[in-house]
Amino acid sequence: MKKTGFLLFILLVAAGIVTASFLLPPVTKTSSELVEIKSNCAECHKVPKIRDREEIHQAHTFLQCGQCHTGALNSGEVEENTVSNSVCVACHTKTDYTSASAMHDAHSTTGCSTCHTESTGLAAADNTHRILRWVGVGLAAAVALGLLFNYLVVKIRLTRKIK
Amino acid sequence: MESNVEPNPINPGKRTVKRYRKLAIVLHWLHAAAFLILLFTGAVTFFRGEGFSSFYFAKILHRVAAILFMAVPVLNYLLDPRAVLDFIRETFTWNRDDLEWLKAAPDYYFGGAEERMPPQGRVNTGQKAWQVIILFTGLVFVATGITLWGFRYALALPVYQWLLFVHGTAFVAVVLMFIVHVYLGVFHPRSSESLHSMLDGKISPDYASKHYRKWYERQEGSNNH
Repeated sequence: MKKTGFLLFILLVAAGIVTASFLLPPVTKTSSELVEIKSNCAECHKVPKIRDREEIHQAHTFLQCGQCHTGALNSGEVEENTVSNSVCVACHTKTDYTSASAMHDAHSTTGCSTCHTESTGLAAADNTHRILRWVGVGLAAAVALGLLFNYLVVKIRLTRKIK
Repeated sequence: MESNVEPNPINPGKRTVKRYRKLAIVLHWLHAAAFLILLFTGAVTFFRGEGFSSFYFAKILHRVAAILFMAVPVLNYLLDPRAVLDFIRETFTWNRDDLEWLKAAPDYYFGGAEERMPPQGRVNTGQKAWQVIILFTGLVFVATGITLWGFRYALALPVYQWLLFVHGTAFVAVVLMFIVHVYLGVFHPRSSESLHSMLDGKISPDYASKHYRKWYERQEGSNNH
């Protein structure tokens, strides 16, 4: 009875966690909500001060200066944070943010194979993870079946000994 | 030395042997609870694979359980440092009896003769193997887990991915041993008192003699002196 209760308890915990993981909604914020909460994109999307201009400029070489620097650039005085949130959100949009910092959220509009290539090492990591997943399932199934077989053999042998 | 053999309150003629202290039992189940939560929340993200940013609930719960998982051994050390040091020492103390146990165990655990099993100390060789896995994978989980959690922005993406792989490999290893641990501790016909001993801390002298003879004889010896 205790053993059954113990097993049932573990199964219930597992079922509860898995179900909650699938059913509970993540903490979501739309782009516009995030803009309302934070006065500046850089509050969350931090780039080290010493490199920020260089990195941001490198990442946006496909744009014209005036597309971001809508006001100050033309006057010749480009200061920090002259780019408003609305400029960022114009391109960096995503319906729901489950984690603002997660790589996949940040690159949700980009195809997987853009980053997950052999040259970046991510494709190999993906493949090994996939193999590990199936090896894990296979081994766990083999162990579980082996233990079930063991249980049946022991029960039969011990029952015969008692008789 | 405190006697570990005491009268059975239900049947005074039959003694019970004190195997685990209350602190050890409480900490075992606390650690087990953290482990189970980590296992199931880890499994959710492990099998989901890509798109790790979803399953917000599982991720948060995983981190809360990770703190508990790390806190229990620390708490154990603070409350009973000797028990922790003994645990580590016995885990890495292997001798000829362990080799003999490994040879005899397959037949014994398939219902073979009990007499062929060599005498064992406080924990048998199989339990030591489980303890080795727990210590080793625990260190891997803590090292990779803290890095993945706290330093993810400082890591190159491939390094992050490969750390996840190492974390996942430890996960597979510990799950396999965990299945065996639960089976032998709860369901195997010859481990009838194992689960019960982790609830009330006691086993019968017969069970102690059959499974942990060297340890039992030491307890008996200390009781007689």
